[in-house]
Amino acid sequence: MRSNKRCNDRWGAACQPRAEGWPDACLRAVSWALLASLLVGCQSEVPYFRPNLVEIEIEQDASEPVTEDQQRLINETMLALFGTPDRPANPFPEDAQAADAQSPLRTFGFDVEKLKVSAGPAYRDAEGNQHGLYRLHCAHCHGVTGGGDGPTAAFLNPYPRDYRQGVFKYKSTFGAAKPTHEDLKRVLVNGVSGTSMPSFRLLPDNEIEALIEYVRYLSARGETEIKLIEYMAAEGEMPGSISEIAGGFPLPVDDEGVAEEEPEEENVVASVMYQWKAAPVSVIHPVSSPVDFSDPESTAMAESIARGEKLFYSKNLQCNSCHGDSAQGDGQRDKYTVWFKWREDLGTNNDDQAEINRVVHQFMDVGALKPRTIYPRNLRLGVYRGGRRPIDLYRRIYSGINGGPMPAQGTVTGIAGDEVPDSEAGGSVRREQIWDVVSYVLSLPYEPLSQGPPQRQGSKYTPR
Amino acid sequence: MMSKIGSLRWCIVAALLCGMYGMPPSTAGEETATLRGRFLLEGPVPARGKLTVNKDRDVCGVYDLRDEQLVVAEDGGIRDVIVYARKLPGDGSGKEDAVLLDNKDCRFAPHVVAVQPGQTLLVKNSDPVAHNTQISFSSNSAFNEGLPPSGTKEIKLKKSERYPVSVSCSIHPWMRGYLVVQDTPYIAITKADGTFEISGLPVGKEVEFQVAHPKSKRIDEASVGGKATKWKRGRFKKKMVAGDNDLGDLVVMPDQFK
Repeated sequence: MRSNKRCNDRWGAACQPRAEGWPDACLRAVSWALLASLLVGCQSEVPYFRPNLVEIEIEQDASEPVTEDQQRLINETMLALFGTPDRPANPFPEDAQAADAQSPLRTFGFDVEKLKVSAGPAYRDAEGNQHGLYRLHCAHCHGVTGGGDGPTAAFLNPYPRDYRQGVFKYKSTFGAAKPTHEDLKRVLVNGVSGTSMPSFRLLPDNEIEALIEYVRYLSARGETEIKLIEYMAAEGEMPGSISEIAGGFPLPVDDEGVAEEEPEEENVVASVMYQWKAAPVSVIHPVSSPVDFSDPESTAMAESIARGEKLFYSKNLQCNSCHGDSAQGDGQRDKYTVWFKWREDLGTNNDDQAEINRVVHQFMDVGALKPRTIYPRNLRLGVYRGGRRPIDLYRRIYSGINGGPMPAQGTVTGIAGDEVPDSEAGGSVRREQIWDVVSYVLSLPYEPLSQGPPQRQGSKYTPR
Repeated sequence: MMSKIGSLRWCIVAALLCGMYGMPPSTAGEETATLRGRFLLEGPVPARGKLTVNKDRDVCGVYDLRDEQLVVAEDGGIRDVIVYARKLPGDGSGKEDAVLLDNKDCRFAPHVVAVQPGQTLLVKNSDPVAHNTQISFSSNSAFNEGLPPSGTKEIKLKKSERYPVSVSCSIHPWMRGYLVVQDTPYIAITKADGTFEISGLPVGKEVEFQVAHPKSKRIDEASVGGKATKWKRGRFKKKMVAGDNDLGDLVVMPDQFK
């Protein structure tokens, strides 16, 4: 298998699932000459968290090579902090009760019981409870590690989310803030329209809750690993001992349950968990809408659509420069998202095909998917990945799409809605005008395109 | 007359005495060090490709926009090499002045900007078209906000960034700039002729310097005064003497930018 080969070449024993001890089991099997058990035990691959070789490649390109010993050190630290795909808890203590009591995950604020239901192999117990939810529903696309690199990933467009960057697109919070619990739940329950992400509405609530917790866990784990790799490549050492990397837990919180102070950067896990805990503070509250979206035939709505159209093509927003003069998503198709930052770094104007090929091969060799540019949404289809409620569109325009090229037209000071006056809110347009753009965008799928849209203000598009 | 000269003389004597005894001992070290040098690229000057201007051509198409990933002068001087003192934060003075990152003539001006954590980065749009500023931070939170004509944004960063981070505009994909965030005032970016100067450095202290570049991230090898020198992780240490500390010509091989 390709992954195994790569794994052995580069990692030696380091990439093997140490906590499971199966290499030891194999050796014992050999010494006891139990050929049958050797064949059965060693041919199937026990799932393990795959080291983030792409990130290692990025970081060592920028600094010094990360040696095998350093890679092993990172892997062992990750194991101590986050456990394995079968046991998302501290694997070091022998006895199970002690393991639970000392589980760093519980200290980080994870609900370990939920994680246990999601982790491990998929099976139904005697009481009919489903276990191994993540491998049953998610791993084939998102991968055991949550790297968006499951067996089916290469065949999907768009690719499944790689949670390890800690970057999520469709959320109610501003800028780079983490999604709230409700945001992740909305994605699981509704799916993501226009992508391969299905709705899991039919799962019982407790299973959806367990999966949300597990996605958060994989994301925090992956982000921690990236930060450790960054530090190791730059400084040639770890940021500190395992407990220093974990940081001071529990985080001191204020009355609203939000962590008071951001931890030091060396306290890697604490810094990541702080971002998750702080997410609710960044929720975007809109200003009151000038129109009633439940009454699309009203005069007020027609006026709002007309204002929104002007704004769409205005010099302040210039939505058409990416979404296209006909809003079909064909204005700009040569940017990459943060998940292909190694490709984006080569520059959009790079015409050195030899360099591009070399870099693409370099990264695909360590497991990266073939890089794809991101297309702006075709607004004529009426398919909205981040949700089709007016509030979803308001937030998309207000905050942009985290990780991608779509910029925010609002600012962090204006997220409190009507509580903040426009004079202080900043942004490319007044917030009420964002509602007008929402009205216009929601009307686009119903515009008779073949009859030709009117000549747009400032647009070169001439209707046939 | 005489008395006037006499009093003036006393003043001078007093001033001298003040200078000798009256001031705190630290002022004896008021003398500072300056690090200077010139980065040169070995071999031919790399060509700078013309950028594809496929948006707002009526505004941006009039400029001869060229690739700025590696800008080398006729005599080999390398622009945009970043040199800064590691782990040497200043006394905070100078942080109150904002640093300007302009969107002008459909490029980021300047191409490389250095800012300290806590200092204000003023992003400005001097063009008649909309821009947006997407900064791919690693240690700080990612930033991507629209910038209408004559719009401004003020950004304050919390943390240092290990490498120069890229600044791009989604609307105009050819636009690319870099931001260096380091907690030190002792930082310089080479000018078009490849020269740099960091003044005000403490004397008598061994200072570790970092050499970086947007394209190569680190420069870890150069010929210093004709002697091949390796800088592990792009770092070198130098004991600063009062006045000039001239590194002379630092000749870098082209493979550093591969």
